[in-house]
Amino acid sequence: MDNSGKEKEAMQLMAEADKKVKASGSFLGGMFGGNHKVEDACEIYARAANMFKMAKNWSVVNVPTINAVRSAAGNAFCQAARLHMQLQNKLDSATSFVDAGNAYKKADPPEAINCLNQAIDIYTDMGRFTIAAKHHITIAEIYESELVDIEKAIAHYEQAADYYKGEESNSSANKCLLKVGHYSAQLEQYQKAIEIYEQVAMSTMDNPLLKYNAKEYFFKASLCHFIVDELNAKLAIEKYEEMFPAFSDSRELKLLKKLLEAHEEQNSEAFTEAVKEFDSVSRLDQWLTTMLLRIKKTIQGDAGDLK
Amino acid sequence: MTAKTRSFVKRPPPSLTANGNELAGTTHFFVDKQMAYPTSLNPFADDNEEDFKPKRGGFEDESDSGMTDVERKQRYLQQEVMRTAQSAVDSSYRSLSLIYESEKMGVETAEELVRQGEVLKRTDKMLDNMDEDLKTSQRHITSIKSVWGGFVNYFKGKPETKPPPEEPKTYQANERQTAMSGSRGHEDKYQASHPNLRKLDTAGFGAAASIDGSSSRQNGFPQNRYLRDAHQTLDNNLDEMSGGLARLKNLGLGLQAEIDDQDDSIGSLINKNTRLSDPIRHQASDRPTCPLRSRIKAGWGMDCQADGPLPPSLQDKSHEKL
Repeated sequence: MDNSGKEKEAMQLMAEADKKVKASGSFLGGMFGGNHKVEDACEIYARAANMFKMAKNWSVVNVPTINAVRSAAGNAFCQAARLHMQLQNKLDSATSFVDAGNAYKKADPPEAINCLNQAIDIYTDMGRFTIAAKHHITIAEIYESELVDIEKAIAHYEQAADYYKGEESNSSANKCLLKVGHYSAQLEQYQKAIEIYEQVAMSTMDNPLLKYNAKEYFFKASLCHFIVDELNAKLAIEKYEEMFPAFSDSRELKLLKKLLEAHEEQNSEAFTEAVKEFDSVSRLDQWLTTMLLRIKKTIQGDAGDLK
Repeated sequence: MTAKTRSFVKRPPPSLTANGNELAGTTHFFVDKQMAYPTSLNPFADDNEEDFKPKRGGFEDESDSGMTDVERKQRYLQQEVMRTAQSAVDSSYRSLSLIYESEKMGVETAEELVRQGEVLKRTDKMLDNMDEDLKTSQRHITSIKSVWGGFVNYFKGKPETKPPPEEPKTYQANERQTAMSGSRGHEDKYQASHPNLRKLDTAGFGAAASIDGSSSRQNGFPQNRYLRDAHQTLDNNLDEMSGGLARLKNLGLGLQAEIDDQDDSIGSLINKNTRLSDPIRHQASDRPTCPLRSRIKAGWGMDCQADGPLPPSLQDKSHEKL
């Protein structure tokens, strides 16, 4: 009951706002009164959108109707945003676009991405790169989860990392770069992944707090080298050991050396054993397992399970 | 021997029991799986119990069944020793995995913390910018309000831009560094003493092992080697654990320093926030009292921006009030 009431109210508000916009259009542009009406319309659109959101929250059962309501909310926000643009209120327009994007996220992902892109354009225009980067990350997440398009996700993460670098937020940039590396390696773009992991590892190497993770990044870079070519891996590992002595004590390096040996001897059992031993102490995650499987396939042996 | 430890000791497949050496090598893989995921029932636990019960029974009653009492007792004690050694090794593997897990979590926390610190610094900078913008806008407003205000501004002069506080940042890094290097110094001292301790340990174990060997010399040698291997593994694991713990300690110290840093930043941010909120509100509510001149300007579509740019957050409010 409440749900449909809110929706009706919201519809009424939308109609009211539409009327106001039309009314203001009939005056000559730039008149004091015209602007006023458009601003009111903006506010009413925003209120309507919020009502739609409330309505969505109360109807938990039916997913299609929820999506329809979400779309309506997103639509209202979009209208508000366009009106703000008309009034040259860039900031308000951008925030409305972001709200629209959020509302569309579940219902209509492409439309959400569209709105968020527009918001990003406005922010970059104003020079607010940090917040633009944050929205790039949101878009990339949508590409990751809702529309599974890893390439575009990578592109957006890269863009976000660039913006963060420009704003000197290095750890946020590193976070995005790691995601880029993660997905590039999954898509077999090993060269790119290697570069990224090396770069991140070297930048975290010096920070006293972050250096404990540097070995993890060197390890990942070495694995990518390994998939490409064994000799590369050997040279890379030597280079890393020189640069970062703490890497030599790590269990990851021991595992790498065992894997190199097993690979030389074309012994897939020794390979499996070494991996199992490592796994027993610290779990291997999905990405690592995939990479190790790929390496194992290059050994002439049976491509069995690693676990 | 508690039931818990018994359940974690696994009897290796019969084909390998012949050679105690292999036992030492391969048991670990079974055992590793076991103690890393300690929830599953050990299918071999029952076997162990079954094996031990008749022996214990045999120890209690006087009738010999092909073995003398003493020998039976010896065998029982040997097995007890092996079991203890095995369970010690298992638990050391478990602790090692726990240490690595906590290290991983600590590292992720550290990354997140550093990112947060950067965000706080950026917020700080933005608040400083806001402060300057507010001062500029206040000047503009006073000049708009009245001609007299314009004169006052002229005499007050331009607001000076504060140089960004660079010094505190480097100083704090130094503090953390000294804390870390101080602890590292202690670690070195500890390391120096550690090898001495280690000699004592292995000597102790060696003595124990030799005692066991001498008491059951018939089948003593493989068990002796097994024990030595077990102790060796234990030692290695303990070394790794100490390394891991040292790393964890440094990580913890670093996190502590970073958190203290951020605490201070947050405090100063709160102060700045409260300090700035009043002028903002004041300026926002100031607009309606604009004189006729500015009202006419606004009516013709030129808002007071002609006198100088207002920060975006103030722009909207001014439109509303007009």
